[in-house]
Amino acid sequence: MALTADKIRSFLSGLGINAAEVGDETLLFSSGLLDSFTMVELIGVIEAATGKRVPASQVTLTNFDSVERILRAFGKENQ
Amino acid sequence: MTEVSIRPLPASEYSKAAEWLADPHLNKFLASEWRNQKVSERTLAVVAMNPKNRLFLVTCDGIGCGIVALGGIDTLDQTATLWYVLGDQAFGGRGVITRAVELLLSTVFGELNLKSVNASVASGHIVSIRILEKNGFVYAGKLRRNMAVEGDLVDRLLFDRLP
Repeated sequence: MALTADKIRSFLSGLGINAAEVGDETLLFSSGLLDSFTMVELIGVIEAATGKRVPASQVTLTNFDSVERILRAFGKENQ
Repeated sequence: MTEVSIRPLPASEYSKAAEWLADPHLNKFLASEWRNQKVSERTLAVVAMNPKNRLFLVTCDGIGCGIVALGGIDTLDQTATLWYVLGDQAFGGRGVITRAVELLLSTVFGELNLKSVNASVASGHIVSIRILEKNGFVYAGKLRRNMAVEGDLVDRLLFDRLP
């Protein structure tokens, strides 16, 4: 299973967020769109999709604050 | 002589910090977002990456024993909410957290240049109230039946501190 933008947006939709309005560079966390506990859930989604554990040291805004950043850090080319 | 210091909570201590925050005896007094949640190393990592938060490890004679922290840092209104936890009860009764809060206030009013900091305590939590009072916090009011502690709604006492 691969991590895709659709998978991330599907997760966001499940939270009641209009995923169509979430662009690749929309800030997810620092904007307040996701709170700490939903971000933890998102990390779980990423791990399930990639089959790899995300170490705490990689939990940074640089890696997690947008769909684009997540894919850059954990997308297929980085697995 | 006990030496207390604080430093930014390193990733290597997230796991220990999560254990402290998940301890039912402490967890019941935390902000609602922490209560009745599975607090994990990952939770700490996410909270720490939020620029509105600052988490500090409290060390007593070099041993990590608690957390002092700021949440909701608002650079426009120049304010934040302060909270604290003594994770290792073996260090209780020594004024460790009182001193750690004092150290954190130096960061609050120095490096962060905030103009007001606030904290809230469940009514009856005398130890926590004393920590604030010893650090110059002033009682600012009460929110009635505003906090669920072990199933009972209790009053939340509000305190604030200016530079």
